[in-house]
Amino acid sequence: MITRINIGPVHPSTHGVLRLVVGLDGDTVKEVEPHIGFLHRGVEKLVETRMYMQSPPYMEKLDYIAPLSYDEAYVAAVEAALGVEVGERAAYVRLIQLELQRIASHLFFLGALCNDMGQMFTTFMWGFEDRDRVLALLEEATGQRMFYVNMRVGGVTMELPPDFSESCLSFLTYFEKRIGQYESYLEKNPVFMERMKGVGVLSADEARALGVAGPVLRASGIDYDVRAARPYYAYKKLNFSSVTALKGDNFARYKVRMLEMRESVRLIRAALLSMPEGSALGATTKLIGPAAKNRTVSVSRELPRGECMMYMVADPQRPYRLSIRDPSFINLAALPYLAREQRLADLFAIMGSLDLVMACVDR
Amino acid sequence: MRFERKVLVQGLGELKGQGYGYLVKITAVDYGKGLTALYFIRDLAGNRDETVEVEIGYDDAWVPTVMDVYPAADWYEREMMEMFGIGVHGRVASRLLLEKWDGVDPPLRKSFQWNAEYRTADNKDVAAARKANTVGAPSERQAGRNAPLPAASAPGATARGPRAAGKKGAARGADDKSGGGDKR
Repeated sequence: MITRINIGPVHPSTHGVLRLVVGLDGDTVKEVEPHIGFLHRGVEKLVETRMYMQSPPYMEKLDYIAPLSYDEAYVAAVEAALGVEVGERAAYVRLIQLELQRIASHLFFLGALCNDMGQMFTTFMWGFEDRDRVLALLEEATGQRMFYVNMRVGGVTMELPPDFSESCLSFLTYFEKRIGQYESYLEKNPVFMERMKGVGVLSADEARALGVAGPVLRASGIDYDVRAARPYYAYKKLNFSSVTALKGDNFARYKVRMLEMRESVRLIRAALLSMPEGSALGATTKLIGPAAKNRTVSVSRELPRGECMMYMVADPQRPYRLSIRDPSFINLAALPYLAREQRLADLFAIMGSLDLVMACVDR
Repeated sequence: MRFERKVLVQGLGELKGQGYGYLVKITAVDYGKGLTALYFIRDLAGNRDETVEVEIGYDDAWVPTVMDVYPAADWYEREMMEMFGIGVHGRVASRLLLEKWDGVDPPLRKSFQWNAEYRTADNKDVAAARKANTVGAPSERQAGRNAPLPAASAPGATARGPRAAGKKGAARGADDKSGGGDKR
């Protein structure tokens, strides 16, 4: 007999406002029906009413864990519509900031995942402590702590401070050791491992058919990372290599993100050491550049949660239509398949491993 | 690449056979003279992208479902139904995804009226209820966040104040029709 229980919309483990109707047989999950839309603000419609550079703050609120990445994806679409090239130094500065943001986001993922799995609060505190160090670096670089609005057409708002490189490098040295500590601490923990290994398995074919994105896709053995497949900025020059895992279970998804943090550390260090001279500044907000012609652009970026595609039909003054392909949206759509025949207690471990942000699911 | 509506499923199936096995997104654009549904597909191994466009008129705004070809289309199609009012034929009827928008004035169409009114399918009930002052707090209306209100009796008119209340009514209606998760 199937018992249906309701979880959410307000629940500490649903990562925002998400409601799940779960059908259970004993404590085995037979079906999950996600109800979304509690945070739907109609951002795609709002963008149509604003000048190009009035929209980045809206974009940042889509993903409040990694706002800078969304900001950059949108501004990249605007740049493509206007036909503006990003300066050489600005490309490096953006890459450094994006990778720092990725580390901050993955640390948040780690903390939230361990918290979801039953009060492994130490990891949560550790993760937040380190995330705070990254936020401090980003604050140095952008002047803001949470919502940066740091991207401008062709560059960024402000130059990196003179001592940024030094403080960033010392953080990277510290953080590299720290990743090892996380791994040895978690992977020796039987509670953690039992709920990660072999739970929520997604095969490569299923992952392709369900259209999942980012680390979830790569954890199933499909090597597709926008940074490698169609490199932007300096990813090619710095020899970025994407991270994949094979098993497609919770552990693989966790491990892909841990390895991605290591790769981000390597990228930032390499970028800091080989950064070209010059100016990284972009146009001021009022200068929105030459009027965009009626053309359509589609720009893909690898956000911490997966691939985001901005499809924009441009108009001279403001976007005629902006369609956002969000990674969390499609990863959440895969949850009913992942959770089937799993234990109810593992449902939140699976959800944690998807790293969802409800604000960008609903848009 | 442009497809006629009637060959869409077949065409996508052929493209899938050529390696385009990954659906990136389904969305639509309202160009003012008609709607265009867009299917972004990708060949992951060969790193190729393809966009399939289907033009549809406002009068018979529907597309066939592509869920048999791409199972990932499920949520995208549901979102398109709600936000563009484009019907998707041939699939199991599902609960609307985001806001249970009732199909009047799909929000992402250009004909959507910004400051005007949220019109619900059971508009009469909302108007009557508002008249009886059971829906929508009068103080909210008097706060003057919006232009003067149209008369309550005007056809298809609901003021901004009771908007939330109107929405609630619509949501309930949608649930009743679909018999979705809420009822189980």
